[in-house]
Amino acid sequence: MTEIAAVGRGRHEHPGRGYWLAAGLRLLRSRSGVAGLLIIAGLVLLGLIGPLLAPWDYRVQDLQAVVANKGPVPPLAPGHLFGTDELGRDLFSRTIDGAQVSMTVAIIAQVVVLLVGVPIGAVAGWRGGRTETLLMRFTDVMYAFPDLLFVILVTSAFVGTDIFRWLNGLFIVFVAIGLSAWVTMARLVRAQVLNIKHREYVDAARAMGVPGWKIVTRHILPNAIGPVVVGVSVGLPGAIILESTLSFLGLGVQSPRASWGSLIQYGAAHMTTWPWLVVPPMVALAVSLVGFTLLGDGLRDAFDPKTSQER
Amino acid sequence: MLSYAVRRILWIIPVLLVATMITFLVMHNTPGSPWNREGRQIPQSQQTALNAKFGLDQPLPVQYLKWVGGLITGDMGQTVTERPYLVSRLIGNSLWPTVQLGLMAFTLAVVLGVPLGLIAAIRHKTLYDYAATGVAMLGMAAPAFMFGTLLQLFLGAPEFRPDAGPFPSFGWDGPRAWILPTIALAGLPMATIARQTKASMLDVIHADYIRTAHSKGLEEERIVRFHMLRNALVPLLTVAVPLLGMVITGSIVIEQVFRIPGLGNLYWSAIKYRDYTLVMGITVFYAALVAVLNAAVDIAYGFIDPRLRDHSVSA
Repeated sequence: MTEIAAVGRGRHEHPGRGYWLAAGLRLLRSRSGVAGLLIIAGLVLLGLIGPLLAPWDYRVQDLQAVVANKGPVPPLAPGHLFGTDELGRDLFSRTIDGAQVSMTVAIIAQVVVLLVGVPIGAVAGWRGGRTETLLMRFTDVMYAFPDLLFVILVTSAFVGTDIFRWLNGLFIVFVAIGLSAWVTMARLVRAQVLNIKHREYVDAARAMGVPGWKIVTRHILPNAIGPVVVGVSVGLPGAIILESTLSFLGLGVQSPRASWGSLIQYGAAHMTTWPWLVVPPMVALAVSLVGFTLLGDGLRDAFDPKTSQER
Repeated sequence: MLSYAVRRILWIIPVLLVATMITFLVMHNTPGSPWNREGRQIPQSQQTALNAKFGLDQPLPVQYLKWVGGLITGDMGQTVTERPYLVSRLIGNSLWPTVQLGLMAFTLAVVLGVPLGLIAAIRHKTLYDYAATGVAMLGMAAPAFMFGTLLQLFLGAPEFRPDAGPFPSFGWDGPRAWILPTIALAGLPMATIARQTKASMLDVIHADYIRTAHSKGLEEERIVRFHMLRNALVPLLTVAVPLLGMVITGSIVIEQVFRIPGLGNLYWSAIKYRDYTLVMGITVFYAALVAVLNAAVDIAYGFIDPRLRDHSVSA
């Protein structure tokens, strides 16, 4: 009995340090993974310490400069590297604030996705039977509901309410994206649990009388971590696209906070008169999406060497 | 197999019921009403009369069931406006631009994406590969609204400056106006298809039967065409068909950017005017479209891989 337990623990308890180390090394060996990692690390850092770097507060209006210029300050002016908007708010500082908004949305939306999707998928896969049928049918229905339609419906339903204004519109964005994106995660986790639950070490744990929830959290989920990591890495850019699209349409982040989406909308509206306004947020958004895509490719190769693109 | 297909098609019904039910609940719990919204306030006394006229004074379940009952008999109801229109007619009027835009963008995405992926896989780790992969990466980097804005910026001509660029920036009048929105909507699916094609081709390239074909001395072109493409297209199918659904719903955003009088714009104004029946009509239309596409993929997959039939009706 103790021997079995020892063997079980040694080999199968969880993927262990070796697994993570190997995956990490594979990630560092792939060029796209490293490039993505650097870009995303830079952006997260920018989101974290950006307010310290930014020469201005994103809300502050340098009205003197606007009056002196008879309009927004063009780029490369003293004090305003990227220029300002009509209200004299520094575009460089606002683009940095956009990085904070985007990274926050991406990460929190994925936390919501994990909190909702993993339990539902795990319970469905582990319990099977009627529970599984019920949960997965519900998941399937939500999967079939067109994402964009749902998100626009939910956010615009709240326009003008206090919930909508909470955290400058960030809260409603978290909810909308989380609600639409958990489905993929639930399906993925269920598939993984189904795949793992008949392995010998799970049988061994069950035979030893380990309670179900403990088998799932200790033995099954840790072994499903690779695909979950890859799923999250695909979800991150998806959340950023959805957030910037909502903000572009005026349903997301509200002024005075800046989102790359709302900055692009503002710049696009003044394209003919002040064309420079649209450049920094577009570049920032494109760079971050490239970063996440590269990182996602690298992670997929690292955690799932079989489907690697770089053979 | 037939029973699987039937089950899978019947499964569309609960999907549509739940999708419309959620939409119904969200809409009716949204602050404001068709008579009391931004920019339009009707006196309370008239509101009561109007509510009675449109049946909005009845309990929500009754209203919903009535709507479903109408739908079954092919009646999508009337808009909740003082001068009601038929919802089916409004949808019919805006349908064509959306479908046309979606199909054109999807075709463009496939026509560009598949060859890009093929080039990247067959000429793996050469300059061709890097160029093709780079183009796909550009597609990943630009969300539709941003790509559309860029196209307007460089190639578009707004009404007030007709000679600013070769194509109109807004509207849907004539083939010249179709070009920019189609390209904008095609960007992301093109990239997805190219990347999927590359990945599945690379999977196939290393398969034993390809090595066998090479060692038999078959010509390269024959191997690519008959041995690799056929096998690589299967996973592509699973990606491509849901993409068609995404492209068609994605046009909601593009229709806003380019001011195209399509279904997406109609949905937009329906939400703004709190037009309950119109929102429901458009939702059920989009949801049905996506559900049918998903079912088609599953059934096609059931034909290809029999193991999938037994597990779940919709996995």
